[in-house]
Amino acid sequence: MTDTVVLSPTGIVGYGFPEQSFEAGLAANPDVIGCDGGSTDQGPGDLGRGTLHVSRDACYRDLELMIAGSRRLGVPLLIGTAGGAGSAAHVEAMREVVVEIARKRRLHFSLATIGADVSKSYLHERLDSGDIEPLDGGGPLDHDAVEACDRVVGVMGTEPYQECLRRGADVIIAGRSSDTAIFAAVPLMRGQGAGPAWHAGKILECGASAAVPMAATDCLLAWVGQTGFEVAPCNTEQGCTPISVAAHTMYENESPYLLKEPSGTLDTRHCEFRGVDARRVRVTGSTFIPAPRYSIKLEAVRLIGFRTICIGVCRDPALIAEADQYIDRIRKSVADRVAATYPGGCDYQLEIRQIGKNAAMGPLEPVATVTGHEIGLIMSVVAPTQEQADAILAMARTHALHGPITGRQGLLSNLAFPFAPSDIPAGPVHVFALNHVVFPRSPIELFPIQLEEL
Amino acid sequence: MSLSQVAPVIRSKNAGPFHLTFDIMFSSPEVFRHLVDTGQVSKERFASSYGLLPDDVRWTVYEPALGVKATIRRVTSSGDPRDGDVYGCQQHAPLLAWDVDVPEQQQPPEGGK
Repeated sequence: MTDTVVLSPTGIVGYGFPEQSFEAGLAANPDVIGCDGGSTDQGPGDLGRGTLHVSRDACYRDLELMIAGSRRLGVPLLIGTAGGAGSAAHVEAMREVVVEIARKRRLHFSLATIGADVSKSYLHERLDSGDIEPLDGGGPLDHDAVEACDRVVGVMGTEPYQECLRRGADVIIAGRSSDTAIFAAVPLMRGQGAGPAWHAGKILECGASAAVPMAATDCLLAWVGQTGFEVAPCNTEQGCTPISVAAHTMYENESPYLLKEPSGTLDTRHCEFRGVDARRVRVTGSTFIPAPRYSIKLEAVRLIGFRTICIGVCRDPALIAEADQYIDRIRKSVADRVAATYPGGCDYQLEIRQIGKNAAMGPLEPVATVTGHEIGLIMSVVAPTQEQADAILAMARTHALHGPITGRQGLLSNLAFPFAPSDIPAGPVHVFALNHVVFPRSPIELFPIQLEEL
Repeated sequence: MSLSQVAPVIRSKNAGPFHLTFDIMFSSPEVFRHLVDTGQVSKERFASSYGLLPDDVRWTVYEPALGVKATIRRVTSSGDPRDGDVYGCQQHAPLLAWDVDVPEQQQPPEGGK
């Protein structure tokens, strides 16, 4: 049996890729083109708001090339985690882009969308039947926690893609998806080895990140067979090496050896990475251990309020020397003023980070002494309404600007504000809410498919 | 010498919204073996750099990439109001300065600074 050739144009739809690399990829006669559209990396905001992770214009540019290439060769194009977070709003936004491109280019094809939103009623029902389990570190789920979620998506495996292809889809815009499943779906359908198919998927999901020099914004090809797979970048300026491919196996996973997927676990413990030539690597020994039960990882967000932020910079060594105490005094002053302003109370969260001290690492920061000549304060208030967040942030900003400093006299103004107005309303704030898997009755029951002819 | 002089890849990143994962990768198999075998690159040392207990760290030595991986639970979930690093990508800095002892014949040409 011949290998199944998979082309990954770029790390995320909209990140861009050189047209020349993509043409070189098409010249290798891929059986499928796949591209990841996002992840949870960017935090809970996009899933909560339905906003795109990458701009619509950038997605349009990438999708136009991918669709044109896929139609020229007559091979399917699979897009997973559409729009950055893969909720219904994201799928619809990307579907509209595809429809617009088809009209503009006068292309006719079968478009499938796959939803990934999970209803609360489904979760309540699976909870009652004992078919939801916590992942590492998560507590057991209860009905209140389900009800508190504002949006829930399931991370699909290969099966919804395969179902679309069996129904004749040429282009698939899928909601939240395992990154690897996008690339494993077609090789598995063609009967290639499960270990090589999933492992190749893991290497392909970030474009040419597994090549040197590393580029998430360039194209990678994989040839997936029964007992192994080979990978090479499309850009002749790049190459894959055994170490670069092994290194990408480690990337963003909890473990490099055991990578969990809905239908089982990719086991790379006995892999061998061998250079075929200066640019191409062969990987053998990957195996796939089917799971006793098929599981879908849940991702969810909960709205906790609205945020306003303010950035100010302090250059005065006297304040830098007592910054921690100064911040404590801001907190106290804000608490007093909130109590005076909202007699019924207001459930707010004030965070003040010191750039120049521990803004990046917080409690994990091992360096205790500040040695810089300036520090930046990032003040952030999350409150039940945007108006309250604005109001309470203004209280914090006032005290931060004019608060007393040991050894300084007169009316003090202690912060350089780089912007006017200084306060920036930042909109709704979501947090990640679930860390659980659900055991569905079938791999596709959570992922509704809609086909349309363009 | 510092770990960053012998390990070209030292990075951190989210592994999902609730975990942080750290990769340290070497270019020389000898340096990789030496530092792992002598315990200079170890779970215990990693834990102490972040004020954690060794049991809080999932530690994997990954021979094919000449690397080690440490995975820990995040203090808060990614994007929580108390989180200062949504991508979890700036948590690796304390590792860069680890003082390591590498035999002279294994040191990179620019090493020993």
